[in-house]
Amino acid sequence: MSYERDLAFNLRIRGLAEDQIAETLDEVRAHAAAAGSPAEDEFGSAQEYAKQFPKQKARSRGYAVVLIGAVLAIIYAAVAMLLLPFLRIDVRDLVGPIRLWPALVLILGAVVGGFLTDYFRPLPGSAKPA
Amino acid sequence: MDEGDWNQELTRAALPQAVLAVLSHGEAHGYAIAEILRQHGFTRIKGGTLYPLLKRLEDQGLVVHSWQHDQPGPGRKQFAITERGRNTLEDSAAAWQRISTALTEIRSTRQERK
Repeated sequence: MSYERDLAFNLRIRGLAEDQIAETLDEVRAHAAAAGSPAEDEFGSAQEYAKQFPKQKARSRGYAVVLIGAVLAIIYAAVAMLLLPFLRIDVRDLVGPIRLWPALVLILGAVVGGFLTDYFRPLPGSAKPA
Repeated sequence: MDEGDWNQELTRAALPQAVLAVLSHGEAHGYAIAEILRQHGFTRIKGGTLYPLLKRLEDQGLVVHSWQHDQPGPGRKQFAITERGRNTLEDSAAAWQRISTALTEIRSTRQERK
C-alpha cells in the first residue's frame, strides 16, 4: 500500500491525470502479482519509476495549494508594507516585531498542506477496462 | 566498456524489436512477455523497463492493450501487435540484419589502409 501511495504521489507531482495514475497502479499490481515479488523489486523505487513518465503541464491539487499560499503571502507582505506610509497603521502592533513572519508561516503552511494534499489524497480506483 | 555494459546497451537497442516479435506470435501480458524474453536469452526485464517501453510502442500505434478480469485478483493487461507494428517489426528486423552483416564483414575483411 505504501509503495502505491508513494508512486501515486510522485506521479501527481509530475502532473499525470488521475486516470493515468490509476492505470499505472493497476499495471504495478498485476505485474507484481504475476511475478510473485514485491512491486519495488520489479519497478525500482516509486520515485525512480515515476521519472520514467514524461512531465505533464497539468498541475496537481497540492501544487495549487502551494500557489495559493504563496499568493496570499505576497499579498500580506504588500499590504503590511503599504499600511504604514498610506494609512499610518503599523502591523507590528498586531504581529510583533517581525513584520513578515505571517507571510513565512503562510508559505510554510502551504508547502506542508500541498504535500499532505497530494500524498494523502485517496488512491484513484482501478482503471476501467479498455 | 566491460561485458555488462555491452549487454545492457545491446539489450536496450534490441528490446523494442524483441517485444514486437513476441507479440507477433499472439497477445500476451507484461509478465509473460518478460518471461518469454528471458527464455530466449535476454536478461530478466523488469516491469520498470517493460511498461514504459510498451507505453511508447502504444503511443506510436504499434501495440494496443485491453484489460482482462477473468480471474480473481488484479486484472491482466493484455498487449497485442497492430498491423503497423508488424510492418515496423519487419523493417527493424531487416535493419538489424544489415547491421549484423556489416559487422561480420568488417570483422572478417582485412582493410586496405591508404
